[in-house]
Amino acid sequence: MGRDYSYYALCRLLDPHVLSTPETFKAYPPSTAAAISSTEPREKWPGSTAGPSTRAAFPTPMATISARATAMWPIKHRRKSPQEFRRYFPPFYLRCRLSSRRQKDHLENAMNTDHDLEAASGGVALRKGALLMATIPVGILLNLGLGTLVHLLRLPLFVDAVGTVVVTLLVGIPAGIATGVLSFLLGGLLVNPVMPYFSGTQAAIAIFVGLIARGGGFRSVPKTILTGVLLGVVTATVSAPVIVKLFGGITGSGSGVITAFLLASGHSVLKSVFLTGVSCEPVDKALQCLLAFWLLKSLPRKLKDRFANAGYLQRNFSK
Amino acid sequence: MVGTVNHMGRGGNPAAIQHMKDLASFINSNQGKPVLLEGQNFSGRTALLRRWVGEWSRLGGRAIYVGPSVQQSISSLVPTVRSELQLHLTGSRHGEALLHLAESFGLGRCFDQSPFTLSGGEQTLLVALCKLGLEPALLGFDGAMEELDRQNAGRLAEVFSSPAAERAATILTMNGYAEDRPLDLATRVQVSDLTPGAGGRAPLFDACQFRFTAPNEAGCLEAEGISFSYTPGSPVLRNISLRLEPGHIFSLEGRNGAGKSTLARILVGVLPLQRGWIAFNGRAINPWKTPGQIAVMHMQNPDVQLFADTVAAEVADLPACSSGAAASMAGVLDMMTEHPFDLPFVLRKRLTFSTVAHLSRPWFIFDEPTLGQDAAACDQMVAVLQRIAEGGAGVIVISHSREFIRRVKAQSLRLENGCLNKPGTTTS
Amino acid sequence: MWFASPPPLYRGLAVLLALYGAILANTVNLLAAGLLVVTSALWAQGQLRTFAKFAFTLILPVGVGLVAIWGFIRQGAPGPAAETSMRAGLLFAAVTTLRLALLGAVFLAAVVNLAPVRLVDLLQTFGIRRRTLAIIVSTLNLWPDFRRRVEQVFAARCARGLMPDRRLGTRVRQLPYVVRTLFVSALGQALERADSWESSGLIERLDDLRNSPSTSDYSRVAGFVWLALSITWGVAATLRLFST
Repeated sequence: MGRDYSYYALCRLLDPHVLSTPETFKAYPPSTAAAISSTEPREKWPGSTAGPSTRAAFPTPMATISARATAMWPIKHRRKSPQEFRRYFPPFYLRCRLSSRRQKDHLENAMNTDHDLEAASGGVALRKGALLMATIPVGILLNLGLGTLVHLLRLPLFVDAVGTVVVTLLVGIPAGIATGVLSFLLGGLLVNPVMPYFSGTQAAIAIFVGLIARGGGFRSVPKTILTGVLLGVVTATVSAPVIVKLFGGITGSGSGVITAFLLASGHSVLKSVFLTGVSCEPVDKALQCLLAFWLLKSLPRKLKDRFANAGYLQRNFSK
Repeated sequence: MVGTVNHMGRGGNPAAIQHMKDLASFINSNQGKPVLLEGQNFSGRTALLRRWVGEWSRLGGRAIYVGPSVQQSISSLVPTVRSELQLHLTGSRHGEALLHLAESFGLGRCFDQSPFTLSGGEQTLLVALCKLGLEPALLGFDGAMEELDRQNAGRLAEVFSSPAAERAATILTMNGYAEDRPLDLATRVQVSDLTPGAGGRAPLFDACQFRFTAPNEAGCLEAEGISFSYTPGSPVLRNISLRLEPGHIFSLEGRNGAGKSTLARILVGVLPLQRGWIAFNGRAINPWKTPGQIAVMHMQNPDVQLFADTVAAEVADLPACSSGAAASMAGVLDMMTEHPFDLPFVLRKRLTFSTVAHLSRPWFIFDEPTLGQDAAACDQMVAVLQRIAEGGAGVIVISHSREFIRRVKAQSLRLENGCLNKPGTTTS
Repeated sequence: MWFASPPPLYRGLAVLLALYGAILANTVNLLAAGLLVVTSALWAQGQLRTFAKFAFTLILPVGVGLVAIWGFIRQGAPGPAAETSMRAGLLFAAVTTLRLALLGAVFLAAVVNLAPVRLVDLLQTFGIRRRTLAIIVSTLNLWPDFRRRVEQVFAARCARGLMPDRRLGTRVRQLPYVVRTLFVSALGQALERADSWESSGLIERLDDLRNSPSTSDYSRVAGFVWLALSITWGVAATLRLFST
């Protein structure tokens, strides 16, 4: 009874021809009964009459890595989360990562299957792949949408990295880089064909925000403003060479006046562009960091829980 | 056939297991026919469906859950309706049959459009066809059927009784009045929750204390010659004229996509007045310039109407005496520090309804207020609307529930092909 | 137009070489010639109007600014080794403007002529699979849905009476609330959707979904021509760089 019985009740629905009464279920050989409640796909169940699945068969997660991992990994740590595994045995994890990302996801899935029934009942899966697939498009659309809106309102700002900051804080640095680069590539398609050449700036923003967030740089409003100011300096540094090479120093926005003034006073072009950036970007980036901070503070608890294992939300926004 | 199953308790209690066994055996004996779970709000049907879908997916089978907002179940991985059907139906045994059904429902002329441009009813049909094409073992449709009109409900019944649905256990959930249920759609099962003390009492929607604040100026709303088209060349509304007296309740009726929401939005000021004029109390107004001042609207989707961090902040912009009243009417007085998006769909809908009902304007428009609400809550909403009308304001309600329109004693305005039939008495 | 759509691989290689050459090229003649070739490709694709709009709104102000600064104010090209004369400054301004126009035009020519239906095919030929494919494709498909959602949230604020008039100030004051509601509802919906993709196996199905191979839409001759032109261009730019 108990846990077994709930599986039986479901199994009856899945394959009524095989398991028609509780007695037949109990009479099933224990190995096959265990196979039924495992994570094997339904087609592999003994006696199953279902056709072949359209899904490709993946190697079982622990089979490929587990032999060496379980040998070298003490038993008391076996139930920990993927993060713990990573921290405990980094070189091995790196080797796993280099071999196949799919295997890594399966490893995390295998470790997460130990969650209890309540978590499963909510239909909430904390799988990282789903988080990436969900958050990155929202980040891209936030970048493009806000950037276009601010441009239409003719404000002297470029609010075009809020999505990158938000995704980095929610999921992590690689996702943030993907968001920034993809949003500028798509922006080249939809908005302005020169945007793709500034993707490097977005990648730098994601990396910087991730590193600062690791140290808790978004814990309060003053800290966020400071982070934004520093981010502005970093952005100015990274985009200065691109502006010099592509635009000859003048981007056609209002800040060109400052550059002109600096150039007229005899500074070198790289220095003028950098100084212009340092005077305009920190305000813009501080505003964007504050907006990101405010958005993440207003997330409902259910969404925050989904991102509990990823990103830097725990370090910065947990009450 | 209507069966009764008592659902006692959640979690690993023997009673819950008892319930699962009964329900499972019931569904088994009805293989091929969908099962409709009826019950009050918070009787645990959504939790049950999600739990089953979650467990089933964990075991490696295929189980699909479609929630109350159908848009979420459109895959958005492909740009057109045709490729959406291709994505889901390729490799399915019943792919051809489902495609024929799609064409017979008239989805054929939308094949090259984006699925998001379809009307709500068409989207529900598309989602049903696609999810069945994935050959799931369990398909849960939670409240996705309430906004369908008669024709689309019949089409959905056809989909669920087609050979494609034979191997799937289809479980539907519906709320609202029993008189509105399509009788031949599914086998009905009554599920009730008898949990003394487990999880607390279910929040009630209580309109006894509702006091309507009369507006400063009540008046008659007239419109003449209103025409509107989203894209030039295909008008949605043609030359609509109406004269609505305050103190009465009117219902805008019509099929899915007939233009009811469009007319409502023009009256409120969300959409610009392309042609025609609108007058309030004898003087011409342009609601587009000052939206939400003469008429306020409660929209269908509550998720776009929640603007604050906490429930308390959400009702805070009402006049001081009304904010507590609004929260208590919706039954969320003990959840004031919760984030509105943490509340379940039913409570979000009630909260937004309460907030609009406690405003003080001459005209109110309610777009599908009864979505997801059970019969008791619907009756309370009827009382609210009647009290607003008695207070001197005018009410326009858009609803597919004929029983709701009948109980609220609304005068019907029927929109067909963009034209309005003359207002008359309600039809039963 | 046969010249308009070379197969993706040829297109990609040609674009990379063109970018390489554009960054290297330093003379007006070379850049003008390159711009002429790419503009003809854009004309073949029917994208000339988009490019003209981009040229007018972005390139023109930049060009004017460059001419003003490097031609008149600084009167010389940047860098310590350059000569200081108005002519050198104007030449630098011209070169930079042409290069900017060329870079924008190259990007437009490379990716604009793709119908969304064939985007999946294109990305699959570049080897992008599964999750990355899902991310890119769903972003493009969600853009109209996102816009609709923005309209709905604005509409809801109007309908509640929270936006009493249509002045610019009032509209800007709505922005924070609109963005917050938009973000929270879009994120929640995206998470549910991604969960359903994974559990329904739609990601694998997307990989297997292939529209009828529309090789007839791509012209190999155009591919060869594009590649040949860009190789010439890259070689010319390199030679010119080393000869000066």
